[in-house]
Amino acid sequence: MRRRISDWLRRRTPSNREIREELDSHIQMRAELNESFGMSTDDAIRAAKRTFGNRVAIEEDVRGVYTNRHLEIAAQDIHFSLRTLIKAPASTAVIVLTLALGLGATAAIFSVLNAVMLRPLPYAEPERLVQIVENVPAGEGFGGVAQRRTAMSASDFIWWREHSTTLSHFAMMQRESRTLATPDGSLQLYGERVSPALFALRGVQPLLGRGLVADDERPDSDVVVLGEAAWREYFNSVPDIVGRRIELDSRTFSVVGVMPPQFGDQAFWVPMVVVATTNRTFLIPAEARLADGVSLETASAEVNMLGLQLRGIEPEPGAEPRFAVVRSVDELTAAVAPALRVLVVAVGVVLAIVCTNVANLLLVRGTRRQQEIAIRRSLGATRWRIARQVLTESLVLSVFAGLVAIAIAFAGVWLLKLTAAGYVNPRLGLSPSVLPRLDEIAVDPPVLAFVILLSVVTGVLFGLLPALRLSKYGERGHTSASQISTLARNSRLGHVLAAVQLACAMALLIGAGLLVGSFLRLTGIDPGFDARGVLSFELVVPGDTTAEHKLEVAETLVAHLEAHPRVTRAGFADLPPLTPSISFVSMLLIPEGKTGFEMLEEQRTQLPGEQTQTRQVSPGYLRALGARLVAGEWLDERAGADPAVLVSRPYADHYFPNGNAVGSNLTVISPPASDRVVTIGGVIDDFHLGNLDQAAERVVFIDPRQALAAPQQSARGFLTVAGSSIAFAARTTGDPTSIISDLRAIARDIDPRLAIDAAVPMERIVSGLTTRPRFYAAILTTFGAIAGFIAVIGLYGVLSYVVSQRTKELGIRMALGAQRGAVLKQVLRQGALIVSIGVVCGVAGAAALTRYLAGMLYGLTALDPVVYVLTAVVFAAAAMLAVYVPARRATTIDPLSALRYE
Amino acid sequence: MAKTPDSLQGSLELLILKTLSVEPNHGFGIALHIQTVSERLLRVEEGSLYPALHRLKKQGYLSTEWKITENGRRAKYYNLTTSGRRRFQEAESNWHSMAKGVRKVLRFA
Repeated sequence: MRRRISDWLRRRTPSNREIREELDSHIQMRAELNESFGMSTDDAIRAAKRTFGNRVAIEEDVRGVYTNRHLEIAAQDIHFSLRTLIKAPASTAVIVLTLALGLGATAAIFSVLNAVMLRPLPYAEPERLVQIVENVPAGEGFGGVAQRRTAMSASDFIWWREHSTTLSHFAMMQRESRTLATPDGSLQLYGERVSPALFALRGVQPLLGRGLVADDERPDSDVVVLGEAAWREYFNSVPDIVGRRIELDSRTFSVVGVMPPQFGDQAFWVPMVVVATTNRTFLIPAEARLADGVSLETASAEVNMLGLQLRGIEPEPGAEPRFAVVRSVDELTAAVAPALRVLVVAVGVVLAIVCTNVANLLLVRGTRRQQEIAIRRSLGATRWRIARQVLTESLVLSVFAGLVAIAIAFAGVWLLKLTAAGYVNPRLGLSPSVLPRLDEIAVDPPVLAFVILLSVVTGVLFGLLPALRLSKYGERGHTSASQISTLARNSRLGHVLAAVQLACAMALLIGAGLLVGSFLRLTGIDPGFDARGVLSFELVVPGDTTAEHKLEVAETLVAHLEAHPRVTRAGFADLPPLTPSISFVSMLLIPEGKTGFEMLEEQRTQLPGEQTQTRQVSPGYLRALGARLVAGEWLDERAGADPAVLVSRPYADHYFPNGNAVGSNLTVISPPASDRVVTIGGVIDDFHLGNLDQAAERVVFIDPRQALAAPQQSARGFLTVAGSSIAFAARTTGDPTSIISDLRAIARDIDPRLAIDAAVPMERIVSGLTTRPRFYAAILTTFGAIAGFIAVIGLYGVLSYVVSQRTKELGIRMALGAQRGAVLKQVLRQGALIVSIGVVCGVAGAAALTRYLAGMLYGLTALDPVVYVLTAVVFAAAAMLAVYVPARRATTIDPLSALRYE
Repeated sequence: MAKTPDSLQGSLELLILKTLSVEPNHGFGIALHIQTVSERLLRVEEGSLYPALHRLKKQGYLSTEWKITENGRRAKYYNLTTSGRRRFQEAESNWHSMAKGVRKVLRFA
């Protein structure tokens, strides 16, 4: 024990004082020796010190024996960096903020990528979940268009399930909504009818009870599995929910289990019994699992072979496979993958600009430090030591920036989710947002790890150039000449970097300009009605109600609503506005002057957008929406008693080019019943039924009461379809959502089984359609603005630096008689050259790259000259401002003080 | 301050160990001793001497003690430890065999 302590004492690290004392005693002893040779005391000490050499360096070397040298140097470097950075707070803040913006933006985009593309689906062995895709050739598709189908008919499904050996666990899932009776009135729940195999296929453990099992797949099954959210919201998470009986659509189901949210966001799942039908047009989404040990390729080959057999097609060697098996996750992200690629490129450009800019700022700062560096070199610091110091400084900066970037990433993700979430009618079952898996986007540990890694990588990246450059100072002695030459070299490099930044920012801004232009064009489209102040909602009537009673209920609700003090007008229709739909109506409308044969011929050659659509609307509906009548009269103000319809302007223009639509007759043919004749009562201005980005459709608006009176079952329309809802529009004074609670009360008073669903301001439905373009325009504009701002700041920094370094030279010139104007012109010319090179390269880059945006553009091409010119001019002007300020400063140099400079 | 190549460092170590095998000494004394005994053929730079001393001490070959010199000055004295003595014998025989080898090579042809 004693031995070990003395060992430790012997080896312990001596204090700095002790080392110094030891070296001092050495020098003293040498001095004494010198003195004994006859030197004076002073000379003796001086000589002793000289012989000893660099005492501080020796001291450091001795200390180095006891420490891990690399760690110690790193600690010193960090300490020194912090001191240097604090000494120049303004430029440090600019660098840290610039970097943080770049890193934060990258982190936000990475969090999207991580959630949408990289993270596996929350199921067991998610990479084995697949879908069957059929590439339907143009000749067989609807409307003569080639299609890629992931849904299949029930008969196809049964065929696959029976014959495939490479796939297991086949399941179909179909969305449906059901009304849940509660003490406060009826509620509409959105769930799925699914093959029970879906539960085994996804392999998610239930929270309570069980999932559906094979035995549930029979017609008389009455089991239901609830989603966690529905269990929580409608049943207060009661633990004894399993075994309870609940009423959906007036039918009793017994709850057998509760599934966690990752299984799906549906409120409920009920078993689907797949029955072979001859109906090949009713397609249902299906999913399967790759059988154990089977690869995607093997499964694809088998599925294609079976599929060709099913369709009765002879397999042709080398033909493009008609059927393929694709991973579910790829299918989910396929739609957004190109857009995400654009975002990744954009954020990469921002990051590149940020890095070059920071490298530039460091170079500029470093050039100011060249004396210090040269002195350190001449004192014996190696080039590597200086480079290491400069790199440490960049790393310290980037780590600080990384911390700020995390905050920016949180804010960015929040904004991103806010912009991406738009309203989409739940009944339609479309993806509820621009991005799939939006809820999963978060700044989580993988994202944080990414930020940290990225900040280190960028730190090295932007630090490398200055490190290599600056460490050269003092290589061949510290002379004014070398100073001037390094200055010239650095500022030339600075100019190149500034031009590169401007070019990148320019290209990005043009891309952003194109998206903004598209967005503006889209929002500028008049949907044909005035959404302001209108509440849209759907009324869900119990399934057993007759069509006549539904109509009565709907009309009663309209009457009660119009009696409400804040409602001016109300009406109802078969579908809410701006609902993309393909109507398969077997009814043929023949305008006066055409024969049925001519109409059939015309229909065959029509593109989908040209086909006449029919909508059933109550007489007050179009007026409640604020549609505009351009000819004739509204149906509820109509004097004549004969059955009448309204048509949209494109319909009137096409079939009655002479403007004689009003008063003309339409013959309604719907075999086997006899023909009917209706009169066109009025023409409505362009009215968008589906999307805003397509031309307004040819529409015939039919009164549902009239349709119901038709003898043909097929022409009687939506009211006869069980489970269909009725879409209402109510024009209010003020905030449309303020009447929702009154509305529910009114509905409950009419019949407690009525449910009010999807009540939203109509404006949200309209803006929901532009969510995607708005999302991309907003993100790219943000990136473009960041990039542009940083590039302009960078240019400003470089030029101000050049001016400040040339103060002396400019002073001499002016003292020798150069005009202030000439000096101004010279600096301006230099700046203008950088700006024009940057802008020209940027425009060229944009012209080459923006075609990848083509799919995201509306109403303009990827080479839209207006956007290009406008963006380039505005950006060049902003950049020239950054040139003008330092140039102006150059002319205010006072020759006398400039000559005394230094 | 050029780095001392390994072989030179090794010989500096040997010189230090040899000097200390006679009697404990301080850094200046060691430098002076080497210089005098080698008749000024060898000069030990302080920049290499002190790091070498401390390295040897860290490895446990040397122990230190602050003592008063004949001239009444405080100085740090180095002394060989037991393992230091063993190390010295090892280094010395290494040196001899290497010197013999080098001589043979140089004499050849």
